[in-house]
Amino acid sequence: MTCSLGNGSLASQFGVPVLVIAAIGDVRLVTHALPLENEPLIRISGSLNRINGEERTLTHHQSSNVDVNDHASATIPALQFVDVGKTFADGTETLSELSLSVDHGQFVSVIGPSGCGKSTLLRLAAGLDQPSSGRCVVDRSNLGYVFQDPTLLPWRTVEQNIELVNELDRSTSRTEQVASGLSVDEVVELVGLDGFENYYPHQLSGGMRMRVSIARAILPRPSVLLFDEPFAALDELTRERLNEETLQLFSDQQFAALFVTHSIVEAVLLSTEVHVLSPRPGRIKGTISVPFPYPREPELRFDPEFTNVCRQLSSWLREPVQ
Amino acid sequence: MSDVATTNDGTGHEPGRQAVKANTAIKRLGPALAVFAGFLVVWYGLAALLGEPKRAAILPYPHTVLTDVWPTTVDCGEFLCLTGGGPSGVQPSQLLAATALTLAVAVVGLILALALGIGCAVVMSQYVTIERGFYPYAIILQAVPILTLVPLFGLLFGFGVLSRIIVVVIISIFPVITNTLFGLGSVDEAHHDLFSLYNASKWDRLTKLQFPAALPAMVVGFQIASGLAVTGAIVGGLFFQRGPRDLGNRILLYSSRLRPGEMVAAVILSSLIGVVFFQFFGWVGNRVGHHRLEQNKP
Repeated sequence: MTCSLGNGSLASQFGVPVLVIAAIGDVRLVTHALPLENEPLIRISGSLNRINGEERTLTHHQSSNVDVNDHASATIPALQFVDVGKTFADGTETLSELSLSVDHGQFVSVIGPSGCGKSTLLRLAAGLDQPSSGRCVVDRSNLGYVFQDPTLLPWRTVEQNIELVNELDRSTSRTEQVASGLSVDEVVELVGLDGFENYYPHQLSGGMRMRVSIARAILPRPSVLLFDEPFAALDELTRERLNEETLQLFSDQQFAALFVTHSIVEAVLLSTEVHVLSPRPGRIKGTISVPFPYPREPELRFDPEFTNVCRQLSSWLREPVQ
Repeated sequence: MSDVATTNDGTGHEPGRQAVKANTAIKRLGPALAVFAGFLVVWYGLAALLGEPKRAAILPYPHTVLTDVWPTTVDCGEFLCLTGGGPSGVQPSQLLAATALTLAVAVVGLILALALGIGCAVVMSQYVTIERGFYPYAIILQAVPILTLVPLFGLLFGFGVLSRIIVVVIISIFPVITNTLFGLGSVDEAHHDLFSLYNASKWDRLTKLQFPAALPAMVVGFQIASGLAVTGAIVGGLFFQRGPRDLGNRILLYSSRLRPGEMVAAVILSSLIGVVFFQFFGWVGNRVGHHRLEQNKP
């Protein structure tokens, strides 16, 4: 059962954060801490066993259970981490009490030193790993993931690699998505692979392979797209071109993106918001909203304001560990 | 390979290219042919040294292997006859029949070994408990000299074709199991993640990811198994003097009757089977391997 109260209306009347708590016992709880200004909404869903002032005992819910109806989707983030911590079996604590959210239509980048848990963040979002604490809320039925390597199947052609997505998931929700998704021809054109449909991955350059990988990810028209340093292994020129094409894709296709990278310039150019993670265990050290409107031109890189944003991020990255 | 070089000569005239092609062919095959010629020379030398009575009984001239055996091919159609009819002794048609039988045993045994081996490996790869239960024994059995078990199979299953096929299966199944298992397990973690991301079923994961990824390793296993299958088929015959005549038991027979010409012919025929098997899987390996020449590393 889902109870949802005062969605937005209270906030618009009073313009202050309102905490709505509903239901007791086993009834599913939805609390909306409504935002001031541009602050992201926080949505917590769980099962409330006790209500005691500020203390909330929440049990983990499979995020795919979260119903995203049209009315709510305007205000509920596409992807949200709530106090997420991850400690691996060998005792390495990679993430610690990390909270961040990606709204619909937002392109959020995460930068940080190697090993600070950036990739882990994406794996948690995709459900490939489970958080040790906290929760990760996202509709996983329609989620795309661009891996660090193109991860193409070498025995399949470009076309067959892209089609793989439609072949694998036979659940009904996915079948509907196949209908609502893009066609292979469309994505091939979107990423500029026309004429290469019947090539095998080993016949393509690194940049081309990454395009195939992106085409595969956007085929079902995902509402959330995760990028794990997709262009890290490419040469600078190819990287810049793919950055521009990613910008184009983001403008054309409606998705919320969480983009993990090492490159400050890349992060700033692409994103609406950039988070800097501290070294392991990763927590958010600083967040910057990137003020430039879309569509963005690559020349933006030479804008003084752009450089200022980069400088700020760079200083956060360089700050010594306390 | 050197085709490119020849077209770059600029002339492109047919005769010139033909000559260059012939030239490179000689360069490639020449050394191997020279070694073969040397081998024949040594053989002739040894046979000549032995002198007449011994030569007929121990080591004939290479050409007599062919002349003694080949011309009488048509005469005898009797598969199981022991005493050769013609003037040159045992009929070559018997040899061909024996070769056919050995080939059949090896092929049937190998197909069974592949089917069973792949089946076992798939089951083990899907159910860890089963793998933990059986795999140690598969390894230990590999260390057991299978040949010592052959007489036992004779007692258990008779001396006919069935026992020989069983010998072939037992001797050639292990490389199939181990290589398939290795191949199925050596899939890239990132590819597994991709399949998990799209909620792939176990079946899809097996057929669309693990099998294609495992094929090159599997074919190497098949190649090893094919060599062993021929050995198994011959050995089965060597041990089972009773029962149908295949190459193995022909070789023993010729040896006891001092017919080295036919014996050498039998050895050559059995080697041919081995070569054909090996080449076949080499060809298969090239076909499935070529997409994997380069992995996804950008």
